[in-house]
Parts: sequence; structure tokens; C-alpha cells
Amino acid sequence: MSKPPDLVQGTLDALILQTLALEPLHGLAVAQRLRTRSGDVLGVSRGSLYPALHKLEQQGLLRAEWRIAESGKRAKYYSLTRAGRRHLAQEQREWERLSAAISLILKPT
Amino acid sequence: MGAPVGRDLPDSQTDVVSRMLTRWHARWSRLVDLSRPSRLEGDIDDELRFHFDEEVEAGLARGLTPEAARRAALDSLGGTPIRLREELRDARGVSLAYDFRRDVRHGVRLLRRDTGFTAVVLCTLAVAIGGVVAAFSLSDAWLFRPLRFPEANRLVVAFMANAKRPTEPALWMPYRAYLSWKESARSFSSVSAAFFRGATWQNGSDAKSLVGMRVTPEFFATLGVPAFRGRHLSASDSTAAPAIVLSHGFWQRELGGAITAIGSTITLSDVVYDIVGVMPPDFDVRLLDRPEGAAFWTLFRPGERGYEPGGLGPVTLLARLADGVTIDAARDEAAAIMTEAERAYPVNFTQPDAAGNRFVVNLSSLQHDNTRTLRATLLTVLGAALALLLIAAMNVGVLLLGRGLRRRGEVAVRHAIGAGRARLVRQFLTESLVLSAAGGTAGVALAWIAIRLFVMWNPLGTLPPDGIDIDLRALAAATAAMVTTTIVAGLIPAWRVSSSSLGASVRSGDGHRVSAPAQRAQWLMLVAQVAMSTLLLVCAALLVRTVLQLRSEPLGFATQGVWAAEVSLPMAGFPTARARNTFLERISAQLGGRPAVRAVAASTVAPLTGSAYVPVSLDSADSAATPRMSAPTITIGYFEALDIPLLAGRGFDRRDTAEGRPVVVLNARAAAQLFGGVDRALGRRLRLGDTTWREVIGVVGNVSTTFFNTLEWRMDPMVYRPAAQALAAVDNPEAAHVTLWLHVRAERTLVAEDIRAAAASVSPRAAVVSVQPIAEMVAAATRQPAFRMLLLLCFCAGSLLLAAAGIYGVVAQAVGERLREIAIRIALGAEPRVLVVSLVRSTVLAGMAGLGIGALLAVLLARVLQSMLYGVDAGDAISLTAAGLILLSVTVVAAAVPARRATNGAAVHLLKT
Repeated sequence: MSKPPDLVQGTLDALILQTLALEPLHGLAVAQRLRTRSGDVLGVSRGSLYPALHKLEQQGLLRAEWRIAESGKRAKYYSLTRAGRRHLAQEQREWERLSAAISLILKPT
Repeated sequence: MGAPVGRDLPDSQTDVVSRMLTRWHARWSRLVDLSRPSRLEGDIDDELRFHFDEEVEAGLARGLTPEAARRAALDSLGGTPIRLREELRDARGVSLAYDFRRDVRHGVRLLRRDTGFTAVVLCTLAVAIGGVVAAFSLSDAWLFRPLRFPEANRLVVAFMANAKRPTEPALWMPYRAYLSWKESARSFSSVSAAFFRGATWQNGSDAKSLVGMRVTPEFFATLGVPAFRGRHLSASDSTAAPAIVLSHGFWQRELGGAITAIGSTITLSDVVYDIVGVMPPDFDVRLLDRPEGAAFWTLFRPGERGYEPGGLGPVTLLARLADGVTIDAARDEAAAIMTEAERAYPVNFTQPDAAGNRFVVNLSSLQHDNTRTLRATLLTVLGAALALLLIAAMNVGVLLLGRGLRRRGEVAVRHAIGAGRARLVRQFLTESLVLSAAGGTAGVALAWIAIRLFVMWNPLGTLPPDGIDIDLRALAAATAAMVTTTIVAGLIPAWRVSSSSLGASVRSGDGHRVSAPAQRAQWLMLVAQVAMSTLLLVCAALLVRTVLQLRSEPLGFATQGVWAAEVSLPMAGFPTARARNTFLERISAQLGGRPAVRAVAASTVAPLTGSAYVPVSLDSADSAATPRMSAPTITIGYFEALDIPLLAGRGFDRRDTAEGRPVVVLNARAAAQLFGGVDRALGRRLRLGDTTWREVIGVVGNVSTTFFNTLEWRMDPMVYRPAAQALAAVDNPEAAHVTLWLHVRAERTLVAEDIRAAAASVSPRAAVVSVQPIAEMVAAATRQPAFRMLLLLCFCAGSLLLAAAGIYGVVAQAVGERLREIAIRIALGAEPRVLVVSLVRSTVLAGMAGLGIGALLAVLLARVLQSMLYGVDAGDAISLTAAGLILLSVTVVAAAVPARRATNGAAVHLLKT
């Protein structure tokens, strides 16, 4: 049994942070948002979402709390911490720099 | 986007703060997780459960079957909850502690399944750790832990030693050396002199022999210990009424610890003393290996022979080194002072004696002095324990390595289903730790039991003054050694398996073949193990030969059926030689008349020792070259009672009275030394340090004596004097000690009470102090070497067992791996015998290599043992051969047993599979 080919690790983290930047969500919602927003292109590495969430929580970029979901069940909601927001901003800057550099190379001038 | 960056603070600084907060947060949450692992578990399960349930509901809403909905939900989770949970735990970093607990459980389970292996490894660990801890704790109690005196390392004692053996005291110091050192030595901040004083304590009808000390007034100040009750002895006490300081033990035991005892009087050997003080309970000054300290202390009294200016009375000097002075510097200065002072006397210690012996000052620390005979024994035990530890470490290493290699299959499977190298290493590490923790605990228990047994059994006849405790340093060191071994040996297989590519063990059909480096490691360990065993075995063989030699040597007198009773005759009751002689005659007649007693006699020397040396001259003037010999005083019938053969002339009889012609009997050694032979001695005359000429009337056989701390029987020259002519001079001014020798008929028995009753009926003032069979005293004299031998034999048995287990394990494992090959070979017609040889060859070769190395080591190291050997050389061929043969046969048997079993069972195995 081998794992599905992973996204670049940092990329998944950035996507999760970005998704949670707007509002606190539980794991299932994060998975659904990622799937719909990326139009299933990224096929969100199933099985790596929860480890990533827990790791980010462990790193202090996310905080978690138990709330009652719309369905009336108890669910674990994740939201960004200050450190998480700063980290996300940094990731975005990095990404913009990188993508700008790549488009410079790939786009015919 | 995100929080505003760096309002007032520069960017980098906010980063630092946030990183700190982040780290703190991470730490805290891990802490919470750790302390409540079950809650964490529940949280993870709840979270996954929520995801799963929602997805299932969504699936059902989409119109899926329950089964399909569940599958879809699992798919959305991305794995089974169990696996996910594992990964989440990893992500949170709690897995270390969690895994540890799980690994411990797993390890314990595995170890319990593999009972044989576990038992062997645990026993090995326990014996090795227990042995080292016990041996070191014993050594520490005597050799390393400071004595309980202030700055005890600066306390030194002085004796005279033969220049040929400067570290072994041979003579007491003369009293005048104390005076000269006290006057001029700058190396010492305080100098005192002390000498044993025997005394009899008569409590009702019960007489006890006490050992006390005569000391100079500085004695207590030198040791630096204040009195517990009352006061010390002072210089003014030497001229006033006799004063005495008691030991705490004596005060408690005999006087009930009564405070009123201080200021009252006590009578010892008919002398009345004022009790002025009691020393504290832990004040225990021992001299020369004596098993216990003094019971009391009195001063040297003016008028005691030898203890006046210029006197030669025997003492030991007990001094305290001045600040910054080393013991060597002090010895040099003290020796120079003594040489200078001795020049004032015509006969002095700077001149060699008749045998050409020169004497030098022997200065050693008080602690060293207390362990002169023990030191060698303790160090032997310590060395043996360390060797055993090494062997045990090798053995555990061999066993764990073999076990780890056998578990390659398990490891490969675990690796295949996703366990990383770090995870595997961690698991093996935990198992090793479980093993060493259990072994260490058992080891401590074993050490504790061993120490208790040692104290109860007291095989050396002496215990350290401050008790024996388990030494934590030794415990830590031994445990660390064993833990390192188990970890290294436990990890190698995990390391090797996980570093080799995954497919390797799956591809190779058997998947169990041992890799070459691991085999080489095993081989090396076997060699080392056999080498250490050889070393131990050779040493043990040498000690066995020593003890046999000591036991078999003829002593020159009867030991079976002879009893020695020490009788104290107080001067006050027996003031004259005539009174003492009368007592001896009467009690001899009393006891000799009993049917059980074959013969009875008395002498002034204790059993197995010589008397004080007296100068023996053949001409009218003494010189420095005058030989000094032991000159015991004996009663008529002494030679007959002890079965000492008469070689020429006659023994003493009724003709040799106080008024008659002065006579002596020589032993063969003295006759040869003085007159050049047994026959030439009869009728010749000699003087014994006085002006009386004595005629030699007989020559008897030599008898053996021991010298207090050397391991040998000595056949010293002796000059015997008849009691009727020689009981006048007595060393101890308060009481004469004589020994009654009773030769009891084989079929009869005599009890100590009979002797006491006889003595009491002759004179109530005489005290029978001890009654002992001579055979027991001979055994006591060889107790240290016998104990050393016994211990080394135990260690040897242990090491042989371990080596055999190691060899057996290695061969069994190699054979197990090649079982299929062996079966095929046998099916093809291979000779089982040839197969066995090929299987055990490399192991036996390892054994022989170890044997060679061990023998070489033994030849080199056994020299250290030389001082413990008697009648056998360190390079003794018989011991070497015996040790070699034993080890070789153990190796061959241990290797051949599993090999033979394999060749016998291989065909069956093949048929089955």
C-alpha cells in the first residue's frame, strides 16, 4: 500500500491556511473547499489532510476548538492564529515571486 | 492579508517573539497530550468519526447503498481510521512517548514468549551487574571510603620493614623512635605511639580476654576525635593513679552504658583503673588488619620496661601528616631522623642483623595498614568481577545479535508495511532497555543479597568498621556498561535491516542469512569471551594450587586432636615464676589425669607463632651480628604432646629445675645455623641475651609458624627453654599469658568447660581466655587464600557457563539457518560427521584463538598475583594446561551439541517441509 503522490508539502499547508483565512472550518469542510476550489485538479491528497491539520496546529499556526456543526454534531473547527496569518502572508509572497519568475521564463515575450 | 507586520518593531524582532510563542504553544500542547493520552485519542477518534459520519450521510443522501456510502466515506478520509490515527499521532509528536509505552509492552510480550532466551540474558545481566556491584561495594568499604576520622587520609602508621620487602611491616618501632620523631620531625603535626595490651576482664565467674592499647597522651589528639563522655587521657595521668578510657562498645556491653561508670573504677587483670572517659561509637582504631578495634586505652606507665628514654619497647607510631606534606616526604624525613638518633646507641637499627637483613621505616596510611592482607583478596575479587562483567557483556551481545538476526523476517515485514528506520531502531532500543532494566534490578537485588550473606558468613573473619553499603557509582557504571552492550547489540540488526534495501530480504528466498559483518562481530565476541575465561581459569588454577600446597605442607607437629587453651595469669595472683610454675604443674596434673587426655603441656607462645626474638650468642660479648631467634618457654612433655620428633639428645625432664644446670633444646634449623648440624650441637653452650651460659641437651624437628600478613609457612630457628628455668621474664607487666596444649584421644572428647573448671579448681584467679582446636587455627591461617580461591572458582564457573552459552547460541543459530542445506547434503549422501566438523570448525577456531590470547594474557597478568601464590610459579605449566584443556572441551562440547542435533534431525525436517 503506497501513499498517493503528495502535493509539495509546503503547498498543501499554504492551501489549508488560505482556506481557513476566511472563516473557521472543520476538517471535512476544508477538504470539500479544497476540492471545489481547485476544481478537483489537485485531487486533494486524501489521507494527508488531517496529518497536515494536526501538524499545523502543533506548530501553532492553527488553533482548534470543538463546536457544534450545522448537522448538530460536535466537530473540531480550525482557525488561523496570528502566527498562521503571518506565515500565510509570507507563503503568498514567496509564491508570487516564484510564479512571477516561472511566468517570465515560460511566457514568450 | 494577515496581521499588520511590524507596527513599531522591526520585522525580525516580531519574528523572534512569534517564534518563541509558537514554540511555547507547541510544547504546551504536547504536554497536555502526553499527560492525557486517552483524551487525545478520543479527540482524534471524534474528529475522524465526524468526517466519516457526515460523508456517509451525504452518500446515503446521494442515494448510495450503505456499503457504498461507507466505502466512499473511507475513501474521502484517505485511509483506515487506525492508520490515520497513527499518522496524526506522528504529526503531533506524541508518538515518542506513546510508542515507548507500546514498545515496552511489545518487548515484554516478546521476551515472555522467548522464555529460554530471556532467562539466560537476564541471569547473565543480573550476575554480572550484581557481581561487580557487590565486589566494588566490598572493596569500597575497606579500601576507598575514608576512615571516620577528621582528614583521615593524613593519618599514618609506622613500622620497621625488612629492606628487601619495604612495604611489609616486619618489626615494631622502638619506643625511642617515638621520642626522636616527636622532638624533631616537621612532617607531622602530631605524633603518638601505641601498642596492644591484652587484659582479662573478670565478670563474675566469666573471664574475657580483651585487647586494649597502651598509648601516649597525644594519641586522641592525633586522631582528632573528642571523647563521647568524660575526657581523654592526659600527660598528668601517667604519674597519677592508673586511668583508662573505654570504647563505646565495651561501655555499652559490659557496663550497660551507665553514665555513673565514668569516675568509678574498673579492674582489668587485677589492676584497678579510674574510668575517665568513653570514646564515641564510631571511634574504631585498628592496627595491622585486626578485625576489631581496641576495647580500652591506657597510658604507658613509668617504669614499664622498654618505655623509658632510649627504650626498645615495641610500639607503632601513629602520626598525622602536617599540611601539604606527602607520605613519601614524611617517610624520608622520619627515616633520616631515626638513623641520626640511632647512632647514639651501640646496638641499633642502622646495622644489619646476623642474617644480613637491613631494616627501614615503613610508613603507610592508617587505611592501608588496616587492609594489608585484605587488599590482595579484595582486588582479586574486583578484578574477577570486572572480567565477568566483560564476559557477560560479550555474551549478551552475542545472544542479542543472534536474536536480532533471527528477527530479520519480522523487521522486514514491519519495514514493508511502513515502519521507518527511526521507528524500528526505537523499537529495538526500547526492547534493549526493558531487558537491561530488568537485569539491572535483578543485579541490585543479587548484590544486596550477596552483601548480606557476606556479612553473615564473614568469610574473611573481619568486617569493615563502617559497614557495607551498595555502592551507587559501581551500580551506575556496571549498569551503563550492560545497557550500552544491550543497546548496541540490540540495534545492529535493526540498523542493518532497515538500511539494506527493502527487497533484499524478500528476494532471497530464506531471508534469514546472517550478514558477514554481524557474523564477524559475533566471532570477535566469542574470541574475547574465551580469552577472558581462560585468564580467570588460569588464575583460579594458580590459587587452587596455592591452597593445596599450603594445606599439604607438613607443619612439623600434630594438628589432629590437639587443642590450645589460652590462660591468663594476672601478676597480682601469680607474682613469681615459682607461683606460675606451680599453677602449670597442678593444672597439667589435673587435666593429664583425665582419661580423654593423652598428653598435656604448656608454653609461652601462642599456637602457630614464634616468641619475641632474643639474641643468641656463642661467645661472651653481644654484637650487632648476634643472631636473634625465637625462644619459647615450654613445660616438660611439650614435644610429646605435639608429636614433635626428637632428633638428638633428650627433651626437658625433672632434672632441669630452677636450681639445676641451665639447659636449652634447639630445633634443627637453629642447630644448623648455630653449630652447622644436628649432631654438632649437643653439649655446646650459648647465651640468650644475658650472662647465663646454657647447655644444648637436645635437638628437635622444625615446626611451622606464620607471620601475620605473609602467605607462607616459616620454619624459623628456635631455642626452647624449660619453664622451670625461664618463666621469670614476662613481657606484659600485668599478666602472663600461657598456652595449654592438650592432645585428646581420638575416641574421647573434651569440652572447653572441662578446661575452665580445671583451671578454676586449681586457682580462681587464673582465667581461661580461649579454647580452640589447632586444626581450626591452621584453617584460619589459610583462610584468605582459601577464600580467594573459592571466589575465583565461583567466578570461573560463571564465566565458563556464559562462554558455553555463547558458543552454543552462535552454533545453534548458524545451524538453524543452514538446516535446509544440511538436509539436502545429507540426502545427497554427505557424512554427518564431516558436516558437524564443518559446522563447528569456525567456532572451535574462535575458541582456540581466544585460548591462545587468554593464555598469553594470563602469563603476563599472573605476575600481579605472585604475592598471593605459594609454592607455585605464576607461569605454572600445570595450571595453564589444566585451564586450556577445560576450556577447549567446553568449547567443543558447546559447539558440537547443536551441530549434532541438526545433522540428526535434518532429514526429518526436510521430509516435513
